[in-house]
Amino acid sequence: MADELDESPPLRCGVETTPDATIVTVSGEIDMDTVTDLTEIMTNALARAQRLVVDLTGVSFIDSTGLRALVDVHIEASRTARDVKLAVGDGQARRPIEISGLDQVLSVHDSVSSALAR
Amino acid sequence: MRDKQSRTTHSMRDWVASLSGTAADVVAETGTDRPHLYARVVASATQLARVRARVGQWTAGLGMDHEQVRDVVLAIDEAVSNAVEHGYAGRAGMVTLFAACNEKSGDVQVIVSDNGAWRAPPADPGSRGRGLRMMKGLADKFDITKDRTGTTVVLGWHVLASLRPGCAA
Repeated sequence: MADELDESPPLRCGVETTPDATIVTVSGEIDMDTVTDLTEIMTNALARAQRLVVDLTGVSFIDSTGLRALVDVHIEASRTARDVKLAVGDGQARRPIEISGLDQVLSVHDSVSSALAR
Repeated sequence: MRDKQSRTTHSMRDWVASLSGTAADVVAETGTDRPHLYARVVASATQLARVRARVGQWTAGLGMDHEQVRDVVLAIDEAVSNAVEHGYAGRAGMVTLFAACNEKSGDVQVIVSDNGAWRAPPADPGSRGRGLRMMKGLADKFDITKDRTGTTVVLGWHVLASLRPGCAA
């Protein structure tokens, strides 16, 4: 394996501000290597918005390191009386969220529109 | 990986000899003469995507279904992340990954081992506990052994005969 090219897994994040909420759209792979970028973007977005929706429907992989980032932003939001919702749908993020039991802790929705409707 | 076998045979033999308990049983049961995945990777977060790609390719090649491949890839990612974060905690080291299909049962068995000294960070935010819980939930068999030589994780999955043409006896 060591002789192969070093390719970081691509993680892409976009931020959109609407009158209702700030929406962070994430795609690619979230692991120990890429999570720092996501944490920074979510933290900055939360600091400037009352309501944050993180769209994970396009995520192709997330592990416990990525889940910790979601829990951290959830805790920070609760502490500052802000709101964070996750749009997960049938994407790859659903299985790790469910197997870790975090679907009972985090605000998990099928889509951005259903997250905004609540 | 098979093409690399002649080069890795010696170090693999050393690694096998270093195993004890459940991990030693796994290698004894599955054998090392059948197609398997054996890799030693630098304990670094930058290796995770590469490990996942390799594991995904190998498990899909056995004929495992999409959902099981996803679970195997995620569980192995957790085991390797665990070695990077807790086993070595930023110090240089290697992680060894072994995956093979048990000829008799058809089960896929995986070993992830490191030579680090297990330690929890001063303020563990609970993510490693979550990682361990996820491995337990994702695999049909889960075993972790920590001693002064390092940490060894064993994971196993039952695979339906119809879904594993690549592991046919």
